[in-house]
Amino acid sequence: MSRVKKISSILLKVVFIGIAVILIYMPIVVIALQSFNGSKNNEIFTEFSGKWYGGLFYPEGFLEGNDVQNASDLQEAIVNTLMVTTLSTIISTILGVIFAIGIHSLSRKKRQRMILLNNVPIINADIVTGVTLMIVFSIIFSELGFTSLLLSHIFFCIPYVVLSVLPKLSEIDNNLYDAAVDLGCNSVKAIWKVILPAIKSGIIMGMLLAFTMSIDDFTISFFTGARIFNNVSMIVYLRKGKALSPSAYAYNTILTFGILFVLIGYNIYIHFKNNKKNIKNASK
Amino acid sequence: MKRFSKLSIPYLIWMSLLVLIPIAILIIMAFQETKGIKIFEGKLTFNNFKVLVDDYFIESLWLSFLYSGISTVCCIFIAYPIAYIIARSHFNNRFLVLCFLVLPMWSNTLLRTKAIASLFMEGNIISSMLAKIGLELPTLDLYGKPLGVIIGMVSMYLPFMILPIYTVLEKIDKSLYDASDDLGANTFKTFWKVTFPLSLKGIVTGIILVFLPCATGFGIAEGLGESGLIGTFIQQNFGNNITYGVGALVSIVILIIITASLFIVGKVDKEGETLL
Repeated sequence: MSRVKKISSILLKVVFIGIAVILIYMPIVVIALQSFNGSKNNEIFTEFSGKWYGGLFYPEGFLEGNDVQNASDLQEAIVNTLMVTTLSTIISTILGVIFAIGIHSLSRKKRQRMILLNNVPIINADIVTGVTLMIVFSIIFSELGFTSLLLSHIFFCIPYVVLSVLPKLSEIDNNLYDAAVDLGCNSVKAIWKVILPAIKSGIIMGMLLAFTMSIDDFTISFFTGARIFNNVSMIVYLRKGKALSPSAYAYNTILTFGILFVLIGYNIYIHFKNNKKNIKNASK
Repeated sequence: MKRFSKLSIPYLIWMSLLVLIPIAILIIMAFQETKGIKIFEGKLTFNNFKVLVDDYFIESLWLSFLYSGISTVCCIFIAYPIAYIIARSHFNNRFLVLCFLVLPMWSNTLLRTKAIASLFMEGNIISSMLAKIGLELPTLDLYGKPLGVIIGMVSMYLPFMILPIYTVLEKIDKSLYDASDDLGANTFKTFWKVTFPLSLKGIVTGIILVFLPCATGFGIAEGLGESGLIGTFIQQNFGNNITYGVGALVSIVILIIITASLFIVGKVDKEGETLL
């Protein structure tokens, strides 16, 4: 009886995990397959081909006719996206850490209020955030474009950094900072040498989240400047059917798996570093 | 550490500038008929409010909530068991689980939506490849159909439901299970009396993370062939440059709903622990 129970419970687990994997990963598999398709018609698979990957970097050399123009439009959008994402990730990480330290130092009541305000962009519907930002930026700037797009990305990325750094800050012993100051550090040096190393994992997590949110954003960008300063999502939204270069699938596949490998590599590196440390400690 | 509290002041100013002031402008705009954003030139009017009794508006709001509600419920029923299985299994490595759930988010959402939509249409890459090795797949004629839209939404938002539930389940002290076991509760009772109440917080966060973007976004729904939702309605009103007031008013309606959910989050999760 217990054996039947065990088997059925395993079966149930497999079914549920299977449903999740199919639901979540099916689109990624489809995109990856489309990126290797020899035809630009997604409905028919002709042969395996790497030309869309080539077209991503050098459209003239790998593609012909209309495809060249489509691919170079895409190239421009990819450069735009990467530029906005890189800048907004760096800036929002730095600002987010500073703000998180500030929020952490507030009294309990004020802190909770700030966290509530901080959560507004996370919970708020993207469309409302987009519309409100568009209103502010079109009053401040004469026309929407790169600057307004970058500012809006920084705006919605900071809260994620703050939220991932705050819990790490509350894990720190407050005396650590005081000890550093007593031992002759000024406050900047104390933060640099004592606080930052202690919250490092939170910062990396926040940075990763900011990057994730920024590179994939469509709704907010749509309102705050992507219609002038096209990003990848905008190109995908605007171009129906064959006008969208299949190089977009290639870009997407490279990005997704590139990040995955970097992360796994980083994790293995950390793992080995810790192992080495443990061995050293044990031998002492 | 107290002296650093000043560092939060610029953030307060920045957030007020970009959150509170635009909302005030949005409210002003709702009472005006202007071309573009010229809030100082428009005249006071209540014409925009006619939209609130407009059939098209009411229908798209209702449809948005219906789609979103059904998708959210589906997400809970799929996500909870998965989060539970992962949290209680030997594979409970937080990093790997996070990778598994976040990986799809590095893929462009609109491209993924298009990929799903293509599966719902007659010719697609999978059926074409299978046809080459002699397998005929039945056509899923779901593009633009309610079932197709819901499957698409669940597929896009499932990670956002699994993540908060997994986060709370993982934090539950394991000794609670032993205690419950020692006191004579069976597995089901332990789940119902111990695990489930402690995980409610994660479910509430998950509902908010799934329901709101589902109901208000327009990219995903349009990609799946449904352009009658409230997000598209707002986008169109801000797109043609003369109905900004209507767009502003509808945004306010959405904002009221969101404020209510913000308070719910504030109540159940004061330090913002489950939002990540």
